[in-house]
Amino acid sequence: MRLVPDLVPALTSSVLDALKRANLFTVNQFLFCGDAQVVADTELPITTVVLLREQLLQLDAYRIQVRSARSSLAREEKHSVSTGVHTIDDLLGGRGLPAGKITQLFGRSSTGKTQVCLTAAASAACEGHQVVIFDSNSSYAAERLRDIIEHKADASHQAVDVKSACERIRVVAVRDPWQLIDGLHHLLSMLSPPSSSLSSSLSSSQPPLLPSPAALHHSASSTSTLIVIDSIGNTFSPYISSTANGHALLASVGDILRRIMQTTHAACLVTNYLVHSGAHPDGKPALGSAWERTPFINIKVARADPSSLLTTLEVLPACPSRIEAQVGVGFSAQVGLGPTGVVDLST
Amino acid sequence: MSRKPVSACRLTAGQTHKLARCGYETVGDLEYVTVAELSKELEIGEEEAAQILRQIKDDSSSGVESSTVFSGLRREEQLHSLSTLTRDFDELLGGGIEPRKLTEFCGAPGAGKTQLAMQLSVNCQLPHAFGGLAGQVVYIDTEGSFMADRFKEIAEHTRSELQPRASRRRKKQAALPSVEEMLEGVHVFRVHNYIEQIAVLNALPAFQIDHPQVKLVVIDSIAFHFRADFHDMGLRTRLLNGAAQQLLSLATQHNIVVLITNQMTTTIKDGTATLIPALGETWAHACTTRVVLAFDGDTRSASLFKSPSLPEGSIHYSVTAGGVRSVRGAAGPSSQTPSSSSTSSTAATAAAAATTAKRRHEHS
Repeated sequence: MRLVPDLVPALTSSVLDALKRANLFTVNQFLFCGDAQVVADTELPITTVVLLREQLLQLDAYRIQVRSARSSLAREEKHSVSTGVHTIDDLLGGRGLPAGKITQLFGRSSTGKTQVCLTAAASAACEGHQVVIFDSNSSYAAERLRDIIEHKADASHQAVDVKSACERIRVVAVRDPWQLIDGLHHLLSMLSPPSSSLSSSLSSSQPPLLPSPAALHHSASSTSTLIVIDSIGNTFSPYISSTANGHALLASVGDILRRIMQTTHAACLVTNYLVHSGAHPDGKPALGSAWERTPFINIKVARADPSSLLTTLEVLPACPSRIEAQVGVGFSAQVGLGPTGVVDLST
Repeated sequence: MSRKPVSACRLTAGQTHKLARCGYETVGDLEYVTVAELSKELEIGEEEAAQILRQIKDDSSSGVESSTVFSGLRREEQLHSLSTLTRDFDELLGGGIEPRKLTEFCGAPGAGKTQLAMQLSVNCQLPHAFGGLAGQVVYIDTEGSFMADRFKEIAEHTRSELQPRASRRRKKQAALPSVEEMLEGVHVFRVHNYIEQIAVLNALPAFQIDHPQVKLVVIDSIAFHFRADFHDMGLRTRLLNGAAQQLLSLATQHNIVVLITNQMTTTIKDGTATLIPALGETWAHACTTRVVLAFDGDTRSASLFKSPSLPEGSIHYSVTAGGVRSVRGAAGPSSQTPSSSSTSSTAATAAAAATTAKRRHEHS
């Protein structure tokens, strides 16, 4: 955040000019310097500097957030989003896609990654969650989603209004990294508490990604948001090289996703393709080190052959040092593919 | 305030650096800055300052196309799929080739890729009543395999097979275009190397604006210039996947059908050689739908390998003097029957095409 007039009462225009002369433009730059250093550089009285620091630390963006382990656990449990397939929910620890975390599906082409996403999206919409799908391949036909929603509604114990479920899913066409980043920032501004929605002056011409912030906050207590990105690999592969800035943009996507997860009750499902290397003869998710630590759970999707209607999901640790007790790392399960999306084999 | 980082906007590295040095980290930081202030602070010309501010505003307001499933359903109802005029083929593809998607046909030489592409270039120009799109075609020919006289032959046959039905309908919108019109309606781009290929793809959005009647873009084949003598695999991936995203954005903006043909390559697995589509694993993710064409005894077969909406399956078809046609029943010598016997079947299929288009997803 830049230091601008009236950000806090202590930041008068004369103080601001003194700070600028000392090359201090942002709150971060100011907070990073010690008081003595600021006094030496700006020749401002020490009382002014101390007062300014105190006031800046009261700003929302800089106040240190504290949350007990118990409340984060409760939040995670309450806002997890079921994938609509018991087998996959069990694989993820019983409750489905964890809120506040990124779950990544990776595998070869035509193994069923998109089918898992379609099923999870339809199921989440039936349960009242908002769903935003970032679609890089034109894979999300409305008709297909409606068919799965109808199937899920029929199977549900509760009455589900198919039409409103259809209105809870938004498909956003994404053709390059910038569109994905714009879409995610727009989503964040829609999901954030209304106080910070100043940005709408810049983005007012956009069609809203979600019905309206008010509608969301009303229901925020009982429902979550599911974000699907299918596929991050397709969006970024043209930009990953030593000359293109794909890595920086990818880091930006990770950053904004983490921010969305922190401020809202969202779960995120991402698909990626698989690459082979000497160190990973069985394949690992693509996009390299700029992305590999962003997903929390990695699920490898594999299919014996194209004629088989079975696909195997295997949970891998997101990175070797991070092994989660509640997630069945190393466990795998088989599910079926069919006209109603991904299904449990027992049914 | 938008927290989108300035580094995620389409600015040059130098501009991003200058902004960062003066503490401009997010788009929100620039919200109330004037051109004069920015120019003074960054020590750059007013023109560049104005360009930076314009770029950031454009980036934020260009918007992303988004729709709910509910509104998507209404849009999909109004879209026409491109019929192959072959009933089995259309059923495999859920009523024809869908617009707004990339559909890839892979096959070894002689499997029928170019024949199918030419047949579809004819079909595209037929009225909606015959499963066509009533539109023109951009045909990007990388291998030099587009034969105008063969195209004319297919157009003549298809036209004469459909004529009996067309004359029964007196409606104007069911009038078949003449062979001359169909020849006129295919814009062929012959490209000789990958640079030309990428250049043509870059020029397509402008061409589309000048020729809004284009409803089908064919690339036959995408692989040719990227296989022999292409050593930088990273560059190949970037170029091809970038091209796929460009084509998708053209397809969705103008509701166009995009048809890509691809070659096959041999892979050795567990000691046995199998044919798989060329261009590798990353490219396999780029297309929405993938169909593999093959010889299967006496007949040709088409298998749906990848589709987000349809079940996988296989059908038989044949290539006759008249173009791509159905095989009645199972494979057999009758598949090579010339156009005389396939006349009726094609006409019937054309009639069915309009109805099957609405029957997508009714598989069990």
